Amino acid sequence: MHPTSDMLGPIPTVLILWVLTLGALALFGRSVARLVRLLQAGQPEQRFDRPLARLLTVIEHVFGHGRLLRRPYSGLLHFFIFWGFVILTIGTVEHFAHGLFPGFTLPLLDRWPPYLFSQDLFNVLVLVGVAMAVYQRTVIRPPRLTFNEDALIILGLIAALMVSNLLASGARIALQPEPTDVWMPVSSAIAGAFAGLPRAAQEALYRIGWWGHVVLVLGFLVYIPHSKHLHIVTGAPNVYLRSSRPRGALSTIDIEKRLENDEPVGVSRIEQFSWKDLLDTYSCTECGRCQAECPASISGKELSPKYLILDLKDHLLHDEAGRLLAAKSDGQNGARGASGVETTHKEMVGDVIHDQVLWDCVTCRACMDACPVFIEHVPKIVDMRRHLVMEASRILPEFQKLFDNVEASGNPWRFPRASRADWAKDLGIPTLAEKPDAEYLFWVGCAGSYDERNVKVSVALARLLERAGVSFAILGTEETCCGDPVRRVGNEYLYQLQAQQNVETLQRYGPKKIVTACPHCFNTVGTEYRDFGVEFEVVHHVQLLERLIAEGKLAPRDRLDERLTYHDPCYLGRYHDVYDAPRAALRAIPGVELAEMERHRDRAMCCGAGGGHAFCEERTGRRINHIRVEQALEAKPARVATACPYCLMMFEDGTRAKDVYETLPVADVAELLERATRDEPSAVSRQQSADTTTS
Amino acid sequence: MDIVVCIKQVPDPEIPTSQFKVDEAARTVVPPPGVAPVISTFDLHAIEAAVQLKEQHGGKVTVISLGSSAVRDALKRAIAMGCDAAVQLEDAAFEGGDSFATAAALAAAIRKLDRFDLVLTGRQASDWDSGQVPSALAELLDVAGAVPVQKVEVRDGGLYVERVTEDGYQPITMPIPSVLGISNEINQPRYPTLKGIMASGKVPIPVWSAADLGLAPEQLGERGRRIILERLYVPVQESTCDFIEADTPQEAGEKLALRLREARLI
Amino acid sequence: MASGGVLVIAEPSEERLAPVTLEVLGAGRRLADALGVPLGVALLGQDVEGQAADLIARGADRVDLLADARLVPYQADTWVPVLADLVRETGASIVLLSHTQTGREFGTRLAFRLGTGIVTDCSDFRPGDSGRLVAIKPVFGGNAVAEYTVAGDGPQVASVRPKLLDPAPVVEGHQGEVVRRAVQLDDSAVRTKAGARVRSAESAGPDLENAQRVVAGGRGVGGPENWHLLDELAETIGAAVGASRAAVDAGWVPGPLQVGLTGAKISPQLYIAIGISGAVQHMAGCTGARTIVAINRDPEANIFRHAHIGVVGNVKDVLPALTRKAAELTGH
Repeated sequence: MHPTSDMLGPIPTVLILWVLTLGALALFGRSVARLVRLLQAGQPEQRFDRPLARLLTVIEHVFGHGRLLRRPYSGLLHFFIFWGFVILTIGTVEHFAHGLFPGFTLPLLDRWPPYLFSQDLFNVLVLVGVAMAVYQRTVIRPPRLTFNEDALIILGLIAALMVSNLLASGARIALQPEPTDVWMPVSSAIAGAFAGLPRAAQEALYRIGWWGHVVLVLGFLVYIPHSKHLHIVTGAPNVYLRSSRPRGALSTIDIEKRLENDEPVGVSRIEQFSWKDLLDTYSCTECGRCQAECPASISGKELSPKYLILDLKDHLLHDEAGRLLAAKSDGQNGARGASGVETTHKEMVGDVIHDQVLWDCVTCRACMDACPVFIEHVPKIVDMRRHLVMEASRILPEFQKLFDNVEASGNPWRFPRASRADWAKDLGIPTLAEKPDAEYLFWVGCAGSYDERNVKVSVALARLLERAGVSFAILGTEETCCGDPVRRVGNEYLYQLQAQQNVETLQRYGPKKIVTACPHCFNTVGTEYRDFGVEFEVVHHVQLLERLIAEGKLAPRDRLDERLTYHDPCYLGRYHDVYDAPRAALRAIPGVELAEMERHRDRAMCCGAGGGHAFCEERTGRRINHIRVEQALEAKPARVATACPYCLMMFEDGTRAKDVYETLPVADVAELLERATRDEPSAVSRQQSADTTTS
Repeated sequence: MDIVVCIKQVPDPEIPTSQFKVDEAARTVVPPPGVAPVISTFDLHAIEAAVQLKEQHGGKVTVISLGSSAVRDALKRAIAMGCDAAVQLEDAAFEGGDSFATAAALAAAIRKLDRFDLVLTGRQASDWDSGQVPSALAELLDVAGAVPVQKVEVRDGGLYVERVTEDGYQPITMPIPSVLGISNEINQPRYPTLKGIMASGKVPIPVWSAADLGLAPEQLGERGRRIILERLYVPVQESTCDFIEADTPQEAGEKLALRLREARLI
Repeated sequence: MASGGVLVIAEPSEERLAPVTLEVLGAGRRLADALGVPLGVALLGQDVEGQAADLIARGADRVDLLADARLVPYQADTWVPVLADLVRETGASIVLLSHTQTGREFGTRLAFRLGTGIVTDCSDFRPGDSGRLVAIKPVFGGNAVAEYTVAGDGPQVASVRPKLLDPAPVVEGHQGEVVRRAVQLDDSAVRTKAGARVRSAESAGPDLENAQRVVAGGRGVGGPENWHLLDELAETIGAAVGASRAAVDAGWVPGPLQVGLTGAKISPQLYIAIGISGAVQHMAGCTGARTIVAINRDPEANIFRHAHIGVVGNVKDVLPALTRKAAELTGH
């Protein structure tokens, strides 16, 4: 069959095809070039290390649809469409080659049965996928998906692509059957339906199908850069170029150098993001999975991670593109006052992204974990917060207080520095100065030192370490706030001051190992302090406790006949994949029945304290911790166990608010283990539970 | 607008009561160790008000404080918030002064500047709570004054000021220059930007002595006092609280209602 | 030394005699009695003559009436020179006024205009050596107490913390004279133009300031969603509602409800502090209360050092029971 061997009037159709194809490619190329030039306006960033690891991620999550299949229905339909696209591209290439170079056939492939079958199969599977998608968008209508025209146009286009393919294929078989057509059952069936038609009609159908497919493919090609289907092009690269830094580590900037060079320390203009950040905005598929997992969105706040990314994309491509492209051609990268039409300038931070949207984030990373194309929402939010805090000075009053407190007294509540070790004064715990060869430095943290409720956890952990015969010491008053809350809120300057103090102290003592009771300290001291050139072996107490139990050094014997549910702290779970240790530790207590909340492990919902929110009020929507308590209640536990001082505070605050404070006590894993290892006869768990929960 | 802000560095007012100590013999407060002094709360609002006015109307803000070298941190913070220049007043002769003696030194310093359109200071300091400096400055500089102030705007070459009253405010039209004692209702003091913090390290802060200010010894320090501190002590808390005993908080609530009813308080 | 007598300056108030003036009058009367000198009251305004009789009935030996339209509305530039003239003419050696938002302004300026000193926000007085006045006042937010005397020979000026002292009682058959004085005012020296006071819409109004019973909430209330528990209790026992600075800063209630050093100073018969820690700055606003009841879940809270009756427990558990029982007992 030679689809382009005829004439349309005076013009050979092959010429028409060439014109259309080259034209579409040119338009596509021009759009892509423009998009690439805009990427180049972004800041440099190194994302080309560890090629093997990156490749494996792409294989697992792009080709294998790892994250997509977490929502099986959506994942499956996308699997069909994606793989259909991949497999059918070969067919499309053949299709065009056939037309552009009459007489061309694909070597080897042309008559290979598996290839032929794959084309037919995926034509159908894609249609199945499209049908599933249409059903999802029109009937199921999950809130995370925006119901708009763009989506239906795309689905229609894809369906039409398949139909045109099948039409052409079926008509071809009717006109010019081949023996290998037995490997194309669907097309053959269609051919059978055409059997009774006159030849001219069959030829017409073939032409319609064939040219229809061409027009649709070229149309799609031109349309892709202008729709969310840009992700077809940028998705896999975006996954390849994912961050290879440890999850919990925010970027450490050289503040002094930046100020010397008059460079910004936060992000307030789109070109101050890196090219990878900008690529993120191209790759967003508007699937809304981030929004569905975001505690702020769930609780009715203004923040939606999806719209954050899309608003940035919009801002880049529509508000600022003119300026950035003109500036590029002027040789100044992103300079203000570039020539061109002066439109009302929208401030990215403030007008496009409202301040409150940035403050709403609890830095739990649920959005980033859910995103199938590995977009990085949280670092962008923190970068913009850095602008608000260090450049614009537009800060929520509670956060100002937080900064003043940490700066003045080394803890978020302005308790005196001198009383940081008061919790331990009667316990005979040596300081590292007194016992420099201790095996473990117990990094207590601010909450564990000053907060009445969390001091009980510090005491419990100290007792456990003693019982297990672990040699440990504390820094006492030489410890100061690790800097995590102020860093998350955006005060990188104050964070670095705090970190430098602690790094200096730690370098002086050179502890072999550090154990913390707070996942935030665990993350900051263990991971983020590495940017200052130090590296310590830091464990969280649940990891150490699990190991001590496994080694037999701790033997929980006292029963706790309770149904527990464990709340995964974000900075322990999603940030560091510590899910099993706490559960193993809890299960080691005889009598414990561990029930899981629906949202558990990597799907756990934040308690609401992250991102500085332990220190400020939620002004709109519902309180995140109230929602989390409701989720805990659904598992019908007798008690909630957790491993983070802030989760503990938020949970207790929530149970009080929901009037279940008495019926749903909350305890740290260390507290429960401590009680289980007292080796006291007739340990009545209920009575003991009353002890630790009186405030 | 050339604005002068007078600030005072005080012991941190947020230290817990149990840590508060007084040296009765010396009649001074003994600050707890390791707790840094801070800028008096209302002075922060005054600094913010001055910087906002400068941002709106142009001009320069000079911040002045009387004290030893520790006070330079307070002056730097003020610069980081947006003040343009700072002056430290230090002299052994200033020691032992009360609000009036301090105001005399401040007024002399203000007069030594080129010019001033407005003097702002906090309505009272978080240590002695006397609230006299704004009025003393107005009197010494012989200009109009108002305290406590919750709003100030420049209008028609003069000032529109709102003075706080018990149940609202009183609007006043005032001339330029004036002295205003600023209250907390006026604004939310800003957190210094990073550029501000960096700049504050670079702005030179001259130190002026009593001689620089041309003040006679009888106007200063102990001799310049208008009121004499006879005694300073921490009051003994005599009252003991009668706690209501009950098995449950609900029961305690009911018992309390009974008790109040019996005492004819409800 | 004290020959000149005690002069009380009445708080600017056109409509009626301000209650705070009576408080200062009481203190003035006690001092005048102790020192054996006459007690005068400076009454400034436009139509304030009607207030003179009550002042005399409550112990003023003399009322210096200065009536002039230019004295209304109050402004420092008119009051201070007029008062300075009066003090010089009457030769008063002790000048007292109330430390209101207004008094603190003109009292201080007056003292400096007279070349003397003032002790502000005093909670008490006592006679010192040779008839000098010793003024006692809380300092450092209430953490300490200072005693001052005024230096030099000039009049000793002191402003009295409002709502702390009892108002002067009526003295049976007390006589006194009303002296109408001319107001000499150099208009060119009046640099300001004050308008009439504006009542703030959100203000707690007279309710909080003058209420006999006040229910106040702090951080321990937990959140704005729990505030109704206070409102219900207040309604049941007929109390006004106040708040600590923590609750105001958190945005749960408007500013005028704040009780404390820089908020409202109140002295009700009954003050119920709910979820309030009792920081000194707050106590400075309510130590005038006759009976302080504290409800707080922390038995170590500072408020219990000031309270007369205490309940340790969670606000959310105690309040509903308290309200219910109170309603039952009072037949509400």
